[in-house]
Amino acid sequence: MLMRKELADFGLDTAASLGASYADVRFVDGEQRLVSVRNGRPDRISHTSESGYGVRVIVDNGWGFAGSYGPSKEDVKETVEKAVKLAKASSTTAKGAVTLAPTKVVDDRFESSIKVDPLTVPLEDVLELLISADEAFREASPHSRTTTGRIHSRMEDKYIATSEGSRIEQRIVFCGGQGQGYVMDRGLVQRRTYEINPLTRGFEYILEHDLQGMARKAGKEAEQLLSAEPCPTEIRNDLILDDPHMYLQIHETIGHGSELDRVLGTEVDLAGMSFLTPDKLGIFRYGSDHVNFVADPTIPDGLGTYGYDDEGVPARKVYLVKDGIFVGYQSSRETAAQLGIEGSSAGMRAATPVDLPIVRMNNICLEPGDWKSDEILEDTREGILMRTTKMWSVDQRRLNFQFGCEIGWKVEGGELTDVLRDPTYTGISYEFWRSLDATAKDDWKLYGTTGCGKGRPGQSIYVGHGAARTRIKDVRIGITGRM
Amino acid sequence: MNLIDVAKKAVEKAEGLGSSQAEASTFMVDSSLTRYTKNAIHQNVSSKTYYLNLEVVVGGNKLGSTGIKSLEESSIDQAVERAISIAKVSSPDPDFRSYADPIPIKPLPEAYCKRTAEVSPEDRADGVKNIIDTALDFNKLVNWSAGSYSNDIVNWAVANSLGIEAEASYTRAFIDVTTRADDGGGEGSGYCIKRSHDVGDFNFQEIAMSAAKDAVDSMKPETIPIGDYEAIFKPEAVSTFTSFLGFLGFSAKAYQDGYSFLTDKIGSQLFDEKLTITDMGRSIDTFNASPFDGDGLPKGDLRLVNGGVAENLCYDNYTALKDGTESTGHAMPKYGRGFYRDMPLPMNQYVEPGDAAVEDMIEDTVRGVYITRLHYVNPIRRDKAVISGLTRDACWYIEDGEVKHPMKVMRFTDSVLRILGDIDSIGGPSTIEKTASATTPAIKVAKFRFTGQSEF
Repeated sequence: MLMRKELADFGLDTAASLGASYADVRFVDGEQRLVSVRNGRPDRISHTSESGYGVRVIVDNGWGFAGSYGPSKEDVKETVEKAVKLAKASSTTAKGAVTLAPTKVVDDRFESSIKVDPLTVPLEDVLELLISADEAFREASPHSRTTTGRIHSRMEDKYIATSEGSRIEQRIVFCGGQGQGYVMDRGLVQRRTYEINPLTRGFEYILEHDLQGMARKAGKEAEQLLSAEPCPTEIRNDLILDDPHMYLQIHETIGHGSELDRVLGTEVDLAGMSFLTPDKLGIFRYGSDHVNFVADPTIPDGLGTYGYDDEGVPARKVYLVKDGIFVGYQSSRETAAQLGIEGSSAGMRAATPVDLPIVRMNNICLEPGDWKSDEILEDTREGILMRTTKMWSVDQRRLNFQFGCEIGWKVEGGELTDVLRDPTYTGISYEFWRSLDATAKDDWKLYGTTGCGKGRPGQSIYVGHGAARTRIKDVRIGITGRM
Repeated sequence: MNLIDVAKKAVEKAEGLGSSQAEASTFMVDSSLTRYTKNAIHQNVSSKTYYLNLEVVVGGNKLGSTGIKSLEESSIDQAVERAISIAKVSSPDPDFRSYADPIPIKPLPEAYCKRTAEVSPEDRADGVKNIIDTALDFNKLVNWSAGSYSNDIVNWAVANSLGIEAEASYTRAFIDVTTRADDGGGEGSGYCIKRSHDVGDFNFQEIAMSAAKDAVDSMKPETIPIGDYEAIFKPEAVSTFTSFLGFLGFSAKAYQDGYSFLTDKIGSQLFDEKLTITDMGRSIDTFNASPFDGDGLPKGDLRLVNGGVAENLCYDNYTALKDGTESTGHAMPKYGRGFYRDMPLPMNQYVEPGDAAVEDMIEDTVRGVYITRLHYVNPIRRDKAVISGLTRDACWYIEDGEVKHPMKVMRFTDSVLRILGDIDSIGGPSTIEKTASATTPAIKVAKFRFTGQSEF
């Protein structure tokens, strides 16, 4: 750790001597283990590690960033020089000075709260869990063709130093798991997944789950799918969502839609922009009165839970949508200053040591409502409940979306009745959320994904989402095209 | 740092610690990218990464792998010990036979271009400024441009216990631009991208003018009804379909896992007879040309579709030995491909051109659309190759042989098999572009189904 501090200070001094008006240096030691099984035996088991750093500078009126995996004084000097050269090149097209919203100068440490380090759990124990779950799926589903399972763990040990004086150490650990089975019968292929939603918790979290039970249930449902009717096509009906699929709906609509850098055009060349332009802030109805979305890295245990973002801004909760009205963005110091809003939302994150920090989701959550989850189902006279994402797609301004799920059920008279296969639904994001008329409180939980992609060069990072069972009225369901 | 020596050393160390076989891949990736929006550079980045991927076998068929972003001696030792300890606790993999036996590899020096390797931040900034200024000069209705200009140098090597020793270097560059124009009646968006191993192929002014013209020509887009249309696809849109051919069909892994749309259909007429696609791994006319694949086996040509008939699966060494056949040289490099790393994929597809001009395709259209590219496309039914996504940037509605107006973003849901199963015409050589996974001409199909609309 002392070594990193010395190198970081050296890097900042070098940047200043080369004319940088701002600089930050971020060291990251990362370790990741992926244990996977296929058809009842170990498949890919890998354990990877990295130790590197990235340097951001503002010189003249331009940004430069360079990253390296060779932490020595010579390497840091070369990397800083590279970043300064890039910044000077950037400034040749600058339209004005780079301004950063202010942030506190801090000297602090944050750590994920874990009991059992998932990276040190004996491989044999992890494999036993996965293989027994895999076997349980296959026992429950005689038509299994390919079954897989995996447990994914990651640790990041970061040190951030800024030219303004902040010094922050953070240790983030997460783990999660998933199993999946493809089943086949008479030319029909279906799939069913079970998931331990990844959280910033230790291996004790994995052991809190009955993975075999989850696998067995998934296997039975996979069998049901083989004889299920296809989802009715081109109908409108009430839709209930209550599992990890909710996270992706939130993720793709309000999650990416409220990233201020996208709004201001930084992602035009790849993922696009957002229709949530600044003129809509504070006045646009994004959802019904029941809809409250937050960006909150302070929630315990979320995949997007941290003490400080990668610019050193302290984590804080920001409302994106309150009582249905669009009220906030996920932002960085620069984008907050560009828009003239009060402070960054602490949303800057980088996926690896040599990636540029960009505005990223942390924990984007639909706040709990007033209902009990059973009441939502009992109250629904006619509808469809869908679970587990199979397909997703959204336009480049985060309006038109389409999702496919693995399984659905008809809801009739407040009960789940027939299983439906290949259910899909589509809509326009704000129309969808305006049609939310019920969200529960008692089954609210944190979900997340370890693979949110954004940026150029591309980065893939872990983000969290919280939600409960939710009902949306009058949704267009069953889009099959030319199946 | 000599990558092949590091790879060989890693293999030797693994054998010294008891592995029956080992395979090491080493990489040096020097990557730089200048990104711009609203006519100014907003991100300018560079990184240099070294990576070792080591896979070992203990006891004949117990596998373990590890990766480390360092090629220092101590890191190699750590990687070897870790990989061996993983392999020791694994169960035997009955599908694993062996790593690949060496086959002579002909070098491909043309894949490395010194001019690309030497592109500087100042050069990239100049290229970007050229594009921005050209677009603004093209028409006063042009507001701004955005995009990226990237150049990468990759050195890599593969070594294994059976004697494979492969090494190569290549350069890759791309430049893209999205340009927006608006006369107050609705914004238009033009897009152009060029890819090459040689930045000398980039004509910045042509690129800028192409996007600027499309931006101006796509102002005031209008909604069209959902339903079926004849469709003319620019190469970037065609590449969406060709990439899904790999993931959903032609990869031997998809076939062995049971969800390939080619299941029991190799040799069948699945596509229009006008369609012929060959994967040409060494061809500099494709963007991912390489002398060898991720297993260290030579890349070459593989006919995927011949006159509409699906002919061959793409194999890597693992899937090939499982099926009792030979690798076709389609293993992905063991770095940077994420989920698709373990899938053999055709990344150098060449779609045979026809002789049609786009103008003639338009003239022959009764009720159709002309699409620049597609966005956020994902599969709904893998076994039927049904996908859904959206149109993006300049797209136009055509009626009775004339372009009537630009169209707003539409969602499509359709099967690649059906889309490419009824092709009206294939563009001539002048329409060919090098895309991320295929070098392809424009294509006109008889039917393409839109199932939704957006608001812009």
